[in-house]
Amino acid sequence: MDRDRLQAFLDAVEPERRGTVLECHPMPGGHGRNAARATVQWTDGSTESLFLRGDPPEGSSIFRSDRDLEWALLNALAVSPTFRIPRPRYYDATGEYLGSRCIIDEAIPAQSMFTAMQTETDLQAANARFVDVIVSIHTMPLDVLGPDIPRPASWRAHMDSLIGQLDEIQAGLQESNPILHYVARVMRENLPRAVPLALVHGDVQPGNVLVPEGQAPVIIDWEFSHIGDPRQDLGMLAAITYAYKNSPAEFSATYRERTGMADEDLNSLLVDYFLVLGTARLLQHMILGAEALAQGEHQGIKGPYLIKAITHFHNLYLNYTEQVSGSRKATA
Amino acid sequence: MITRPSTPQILRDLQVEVEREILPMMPDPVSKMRVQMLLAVLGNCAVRSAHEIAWMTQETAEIIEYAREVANAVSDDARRPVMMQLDTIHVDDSLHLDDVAAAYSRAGYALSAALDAAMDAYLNDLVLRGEALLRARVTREQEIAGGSATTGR
Repeated sequence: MDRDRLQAFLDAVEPERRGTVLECHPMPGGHGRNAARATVQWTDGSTESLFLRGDPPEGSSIFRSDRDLEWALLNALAVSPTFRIPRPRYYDATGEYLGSRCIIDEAIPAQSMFTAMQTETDLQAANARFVDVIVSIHTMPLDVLGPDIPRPASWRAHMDSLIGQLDEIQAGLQESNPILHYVARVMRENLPRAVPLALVHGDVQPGNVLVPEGQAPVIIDWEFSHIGDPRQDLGMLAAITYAYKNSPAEFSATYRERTGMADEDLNSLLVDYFLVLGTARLLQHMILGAEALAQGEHQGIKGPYLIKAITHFHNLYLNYTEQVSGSRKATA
Repeated sequence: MITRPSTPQILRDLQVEVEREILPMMPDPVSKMRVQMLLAVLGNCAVRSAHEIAWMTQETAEIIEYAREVANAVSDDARRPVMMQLDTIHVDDSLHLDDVAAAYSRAGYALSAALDAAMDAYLNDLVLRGEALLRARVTREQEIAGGSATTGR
């Protein structure tokens, strides 16, 4: 993903516009993707900033996601009536030009909502704006996505599959994991009420929302997006950001107010329930990455580094089961 | 065998060397971030190497005791899967890491079977005790992840 490779790629996909790559710099990427930012000058004199996200070399990242599906999804979301994403520009589907499969988006010159929140004095208003972003994802009509994006047969089938991920993780291990075994059982015994399926971002957090001056927010990083239970995003959010942790009751109340969701369908215990389900896939990547490492496969530095993240999730998952046990104790 | 410095001390010293001498010479932010991750992993390994055999041995014994107690509290049918898992745990005198880890892993299956049996029988106190064993496990994982252990000796 360097300047020469990008030049060769653009020469192939945009032969008429004859762009010149002025610069192409690697950037620290999220989730083990190779990332770079580039500036291109076209022959009409205009310049364009691009953001490149490519698969890392085989064996150097523990995260796996489907780039073809992501490209299809991005093209569908580009016309979403409820929110804005960076315009998807190009896709090197084979890695022939850029060295690995790579999606190229429009680069948005804006700070993230996370950065904006650092200097925000009215945190309540900032949190409400963030909730609005989440709601804009969850209220997008699913028919926008078209037939190529997989859709669960039903909410129950989706939930069974999510909880089943905890079983899948254990099946992929060559050692026991009694924490996951116990958590999966508690999850099955405390299934919540169904809500309508929705678009789930999969990693929604203020750092993945750009806020261009005077324009609508732009939501990025869709690689784990899918159709599911919208509360998965809230659970994921609770696991990773202070946007929720600082005022969980208020956060949930704002979300309920904006969506009309009932209190019994969204409360702090249910957010923790979905924290488990919303992060199970992430944990699966981490645990299977650690298992691969144990079997002698090099996973890059993120393999051993993320072992401590497994601990983080074990802790969060037990926090949930202990709340359930606590209420069981109180009832008894 | 040379015992001084210990393995944790060597790992900590490597951390210092990389942090003071190698990291400042790296101009590339991506490589720098990788080295910082590597430093964190060295810190985790220092704690692990100091305690892991003792911690796993102790936890295995606690799980065996718990699973036996559950087995004694449930019906014959419910007892069978717990006893089957207990029977697979071979605790011998070997303190080699692979042997201790293998017994620990089998103890994990026994703990799962015992918790299932306790939940099936609605033995709430035993469920809570099983959950407390899981909590103790996570607490130790956190000590490793934090890179410093103040307990466990």
